[in-house]
Amino acid sequence: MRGRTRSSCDDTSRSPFRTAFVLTGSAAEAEEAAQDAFLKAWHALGRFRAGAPFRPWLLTIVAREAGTRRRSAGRRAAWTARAAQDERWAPPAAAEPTEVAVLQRERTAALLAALGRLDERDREVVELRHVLGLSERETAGVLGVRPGTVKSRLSRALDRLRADLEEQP
Amino acid sequence: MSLERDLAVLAEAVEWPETPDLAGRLRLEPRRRSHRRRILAVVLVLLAGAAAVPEVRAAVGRVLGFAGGERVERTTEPPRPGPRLDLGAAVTLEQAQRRAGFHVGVPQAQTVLGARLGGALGDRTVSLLLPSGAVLSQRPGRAAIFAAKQVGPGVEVSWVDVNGRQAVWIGSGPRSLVVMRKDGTEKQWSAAVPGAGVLLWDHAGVALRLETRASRAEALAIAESVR
Repeated sequence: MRGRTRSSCDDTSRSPFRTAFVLTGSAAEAEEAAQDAFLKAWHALGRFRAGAPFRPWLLTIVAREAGTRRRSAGRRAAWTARAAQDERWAPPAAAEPTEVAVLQRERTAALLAALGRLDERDREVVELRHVLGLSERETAGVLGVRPGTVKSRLSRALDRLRADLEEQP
Repeated sequence: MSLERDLAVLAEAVEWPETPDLAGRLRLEPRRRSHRRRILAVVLVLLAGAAAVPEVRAAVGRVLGFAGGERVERTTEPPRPGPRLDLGAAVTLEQAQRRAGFHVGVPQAQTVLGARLGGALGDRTVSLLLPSGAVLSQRPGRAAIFAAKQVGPGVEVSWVDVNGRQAVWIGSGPRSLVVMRKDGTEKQWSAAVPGAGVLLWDHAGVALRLETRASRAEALAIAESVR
């Protein structure tokens, strides 16, 4: 074990930071929220139950920290708009024929735009589950609702997203 | 193609802002106010975290940059030099062990040339003077004294293990130690050993720091031999 080095930016920080980013819409706010969440988590470690999964517990604290900032800022994740226009931004199946790739990029850009038109509750549940890839349980902790509510809210949000995409030319 | 599939493509392709180092850069200029608030918060949380599930504490501590009772902060400018870290009064090893009230570890295969008690890091801090000018300081981890290690740009900071416990090694270079005293005032110190690197770790509720001009590997070997 001796001499093994570690990065301090491993997954322990990544998901809290990204969760805070989805909720605050600002990298600077997300950094502060995640940092303060770690301090609060450290403070609350005595209440953490041994054997319980750590990440959902931590993300719940992150969400609380992000929440206070979100209310004052009233923003949403800026990457939705920026990424759509970014030339470097291409679908992973780059080996596919160009027309398919172009089509996919258009679909993804349309999807980003539609996500941006969702109201905040719908957008958050879709981004946490499908873009960030949190589990249902983690999403429930972040949103402060029961896992069953995540399921129903997500289903409604996806219906709205689908309807919006069909309406757009 | 389904909406779920499109979302999966989106998730793959979307560009997240880079995850910052949460242990963090100290932003002295625009956030001076919150730096102070943060230090006060940390004094409390350091005490609270002591009893927690070890592996979870290690994960959170690593992100925050806690080791050896010190919080490691990266600064954008080299920290101002301060006076050399005060190690307290000269005592014998036996006196130090008796007065400190905790088991003072001694590195094997190292001759202890002298001992100091008290100083900047608190009344119960014991510092052992080792060959080649190295200094091993120990203090009870729950002592209500908080120190922030400020590390200038370009100085090596790496997470290492000492007998399977997390530790941090800070190479030689501009750094300072800000100690917050019980009355709430802060004092900034330079290294006890000029030109030395420092290894910070915890063992059995004791916060340890080894300042040495030796290499990281040699510092780790000394640290792992402390009994």
